[in-house]
Amino acid sequence: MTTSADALTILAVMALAAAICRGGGFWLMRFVPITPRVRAALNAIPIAVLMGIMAPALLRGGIAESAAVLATAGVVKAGGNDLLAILAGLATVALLRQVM
Amino acid sequence: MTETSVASPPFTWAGFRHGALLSLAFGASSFVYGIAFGVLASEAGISMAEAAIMSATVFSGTAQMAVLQMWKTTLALLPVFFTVLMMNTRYFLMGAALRPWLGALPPGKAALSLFFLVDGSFVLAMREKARGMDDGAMLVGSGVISYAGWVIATLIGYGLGHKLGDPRVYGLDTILVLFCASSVAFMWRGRTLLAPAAAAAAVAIGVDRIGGGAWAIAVAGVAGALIGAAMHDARGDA
Repeated sequence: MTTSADALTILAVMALAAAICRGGGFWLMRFVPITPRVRAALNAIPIAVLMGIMAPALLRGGIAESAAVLATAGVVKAGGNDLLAILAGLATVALLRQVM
Repeated sequence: MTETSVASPPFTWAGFRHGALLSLAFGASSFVYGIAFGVLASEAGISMAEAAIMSATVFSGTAQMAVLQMWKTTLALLPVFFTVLMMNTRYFLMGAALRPWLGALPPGKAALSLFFLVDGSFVLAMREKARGMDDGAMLVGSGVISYAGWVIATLIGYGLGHKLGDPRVYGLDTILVLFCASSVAFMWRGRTLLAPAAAAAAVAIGVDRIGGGAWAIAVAGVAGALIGAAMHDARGDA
């Protein structure tokens, strides 16, 4: 368990950059009045972020992942809870990866 | 309607617990990625203490993986700084989106919420918020679960090194994507979200295809926000 001074500087710089990203947007919006228009823009961000995570991963992953996503969404829409839905997706992807 | 003097949202242990319990599912994915990071770190010539400090202060898988690559070759301050900045631009947008909700929190509580901010906790908190649960501590609770999983798993992965099998066999690498899928299904409220969602997906795929994978989520977020504003203008109720 050793660290060098150089390594600690690198780690500090990394922590600083991460903090700037996590705090920056929140801080900046202090100076932007939250009009209905701005609110409409901010409201669209969560779903857009979800798509930003999912879409490239699905395209890269292929059939097993896409089937798993459908299974998960299906369980949610059928009224199931989160954990159940994710387990259904996991079972789907594990199974399809064994077969394909 | 002015939003400048809104009251502070509640910030309670009950909210913390709510967020923590709901996040156990994607907390597991954070754990799996943490193991992977720990294994890679053990091979990159970085000490176990350094790997643990990195996970505990940076708390960002993509950024840390990228820096590991640099650790093996050329390590210089400025490239490291910009790499972490670029890999985490998405948090900039998430923070902006959190402002209307958490802007009135005391600075300490707001800082705490932002420090533990991570993809999964943001998704979960926004979803619960949409269902009427507005306790700000929910975000911290769900972030802490991922954080604990990430840091502990870094140590375990580093310690175990290559002795582990491939978690891909069990599909564990897809947990975050599946969590996103269930959240989309929960959050879907009809047509309003269709255009931002479609634009975000298209843009993310495009950015990923031209090799800018680190930017995909952030650019998708911007695209969604722009479409959201444009639709608001089109409705003409500005």
